[in-house]
Amino acid sequence: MPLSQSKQDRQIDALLTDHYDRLTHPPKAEPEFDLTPIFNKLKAAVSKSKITNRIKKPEPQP
Amino acid sequence: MTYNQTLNPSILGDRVEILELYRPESLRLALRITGNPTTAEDVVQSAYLRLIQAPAIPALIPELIRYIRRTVTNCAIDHLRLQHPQSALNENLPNTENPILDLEINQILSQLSPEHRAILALHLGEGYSYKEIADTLSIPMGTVASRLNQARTEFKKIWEAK
Repeated sequence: MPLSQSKQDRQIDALLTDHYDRLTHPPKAEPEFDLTPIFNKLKAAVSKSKITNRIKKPEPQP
Repeated sequence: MTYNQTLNPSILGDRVEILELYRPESLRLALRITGNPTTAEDVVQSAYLRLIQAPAIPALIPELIRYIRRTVTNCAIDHLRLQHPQSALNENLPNTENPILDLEINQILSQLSPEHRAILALHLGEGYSYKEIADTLSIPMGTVASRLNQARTEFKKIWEAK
């Protein structure tokens, strides 16, 4: 068998082996987009701004 | 797969239990030969019906596994023989990581003979050696080698022509 032909055979074998593997291992479902980290960041930002506001709150004039 | 060694294949209840243990492997093999999950389920159903109704099945585990594998392969070949050759062209995209490529490969495989599809799935899908395939299908090793070579050449011809 010529070398190039055996190389082609190996490529076909690899193509089919991967195909059979994919057929029996379907992809896992994409996880739903988790908003928790963003929500926590926003919450932290809001509470931080409250603290800042409290600090910067002008003192009442006498 | 682990068997309870006290199970006796000649007792119907035990035989069903053994077959159920081997069901995931049978489904995987049927799916690789047919390329379609629904057809694979049908194949395993008919194979298991044959196995349950068989008057006697091997009592030794390695022989029994080969017997189950042979029955599933033969049922898959029978199913593919009855299937219209063009039916794969109307199939939906398979649920895989590369559905377009896998659909294309399925369509090429559907143009091969059922025996060639089975031999490719057994060797390249299941990773069985020529000897294991020869033992499973009760054919000489030379036939395995030539059938595999013909199947590969046929696939390559269609793949390159597209």
